[in-house]
Amino acid sequence: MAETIARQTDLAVDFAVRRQRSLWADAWRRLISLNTARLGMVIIGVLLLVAVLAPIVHDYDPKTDSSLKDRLRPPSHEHLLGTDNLGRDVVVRLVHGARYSLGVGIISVGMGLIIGGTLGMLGGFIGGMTDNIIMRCMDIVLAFPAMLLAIAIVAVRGPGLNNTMVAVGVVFIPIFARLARSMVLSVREQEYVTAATCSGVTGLRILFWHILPNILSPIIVQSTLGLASAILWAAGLGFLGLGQQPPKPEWGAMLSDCYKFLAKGAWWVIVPPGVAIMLGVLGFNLLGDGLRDALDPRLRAD
Amino acid sequence: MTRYIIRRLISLIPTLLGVTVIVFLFIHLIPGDPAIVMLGEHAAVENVERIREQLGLNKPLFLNPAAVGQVFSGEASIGEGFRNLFESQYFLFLGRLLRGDLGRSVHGRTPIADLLKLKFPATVELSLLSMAFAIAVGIPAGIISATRRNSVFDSASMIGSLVGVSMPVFWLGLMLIYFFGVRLKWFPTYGRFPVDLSLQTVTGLYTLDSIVTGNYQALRLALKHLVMPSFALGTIPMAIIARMTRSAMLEVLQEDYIRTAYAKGLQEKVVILRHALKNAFLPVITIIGLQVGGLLAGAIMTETVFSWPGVGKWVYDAILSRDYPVVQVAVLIITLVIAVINLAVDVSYAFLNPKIRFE
Repeated sequence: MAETIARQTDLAVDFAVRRQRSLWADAWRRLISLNTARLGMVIIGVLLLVAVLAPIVHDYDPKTDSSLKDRLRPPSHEHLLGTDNLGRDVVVRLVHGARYSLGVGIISVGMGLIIGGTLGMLGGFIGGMTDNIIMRCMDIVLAFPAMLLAIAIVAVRGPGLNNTMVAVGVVFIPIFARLARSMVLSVREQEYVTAATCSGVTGLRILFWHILPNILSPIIVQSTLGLASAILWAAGLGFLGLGQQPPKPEWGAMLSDCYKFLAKGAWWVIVPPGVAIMLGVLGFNLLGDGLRDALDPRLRAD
Repeated sequence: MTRYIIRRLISLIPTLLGVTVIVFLFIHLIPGDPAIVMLGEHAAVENVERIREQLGLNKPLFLNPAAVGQVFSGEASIGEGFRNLFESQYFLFLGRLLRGDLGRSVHGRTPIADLLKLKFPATVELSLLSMAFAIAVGIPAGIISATRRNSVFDSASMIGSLVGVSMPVFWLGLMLIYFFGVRLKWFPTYGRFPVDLSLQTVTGLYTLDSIVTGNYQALRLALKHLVMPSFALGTIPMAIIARMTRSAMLEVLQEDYIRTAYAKGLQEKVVILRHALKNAFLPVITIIGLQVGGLLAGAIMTETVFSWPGVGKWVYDAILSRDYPVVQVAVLIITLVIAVINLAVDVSYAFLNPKIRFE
């Protein structure tokens, strides 16, 4: 009995003296306590660092890089992961490819997030006919399977990195629109929104100052998981020869350039880009799962 | 229940109409004259004209405003004017589709419906086997992970499934080709069937055909060709199904009725399979249904890597050769099939879950 009381007092004291933490600081603590999320952060951190530092540390011109006498050399001290079909060092191309592969992901998710998020928020907030029209349009886009839609868009607009970003970005628009709309709908009726309305705050200011901060968690989670898919889709387009065009070293395009040489046993031109794509996707998947657990305990997927 | 199905079917119509609009606009989003883009700059004038005629490129896009003028000036009766109003590219396109006329390919001028009949079974066969593989491995893995939570098997299968969903399908395909095709020479690396062997086709699914006709050598060969592509295509669904099964099972295993089942002395096998699995199945079925859509889209990558002569490779080849009518139809068909499958999943869900049925 006495023991229980003592423990309760301890708890109360602990609660009283514990330094107040903001919501985000609390989420951060939960996030870094997860092993998988830490691993994800390390992977993404390293890849981003590589992508940012690559052009600073080492100037690379893919046009002058080829050296035909060193074609398809297996890994050695000189070329750690060997050379590709045009005698280009695989490591160098991998490092510089990180810029394109991660860049496409970030830009296309950003595009989907801004356009789709805004449309969804407006739809959910305004409601009525506007909402109906926006969401019917989103349903139509969503009816197409993601990869097929991206391929079709690139097929129409022509191959290339810019069109890849647009194509992948368009795929994300309905995803973010639906998410933002459903979140706005659930938050719109909360007391603090009513309070803001009563104190004379109007329209868009309510949406962006009072509602937006409260729906950020699921959007951050979806964006992180979206980055994983975006990298995968962009690499897929690159592999089909519809993405980044040679000689620039995007990971998917590197696979596309070299997979014919697999029959000759040149595994070193195929394994590294695939592993790089997989690491990027894995990193964002791990971080996304971790963020979901950390940011919104209600959404926790066991 | 019938009302629920009918309501869902009706709600599908506007979406599908929207899909036809987008697929139709597809050709008009191409920079430049679509007919010339498709045939190349040095195409003969009569060929360009033929394509223009076939696609109706000289007609207005959606509605023909001239028809309204005709009625007012007395040139046409109201009925004729109304008909002329819809004398536009889109409505001609839609009308042809509704009549089942899918058009002809630009190159070779083959009727697209004939090509589709040839390609579709190949994709269905591949998808079915991939899905069977994904379910056969994914569900047991999920169940074992959930019942032996935090065991070595659990950790291994969850790490495996994370790696599985993160792996590009086409890269996995290339790796399989390298190890099992080039190195070990266990399986053929491309195609669906040896060219020099003939098989009487009944359904178009070679495995089924060879069983029906009792041609067991053909069955062996067909299966050998199927192993690697269906493994590559099935990996992502397998990983997702395993994760979903695990989390659904974990949730159900905490329920009181599971404890009751154990308490009244039932064997673990019975509790897991009869009491827990049945209740954990709903989310798993949903996720399986959703994967079918991803499977058809993933088929583009897999079929390209393995030169599998299905719809996916067909679309890809059509894009490369700028055969846009083929791309249009293939995209439309794939999207339609997925919409119908999703509907079927929803309906089966309602069928299995009384909570939804009676709402």
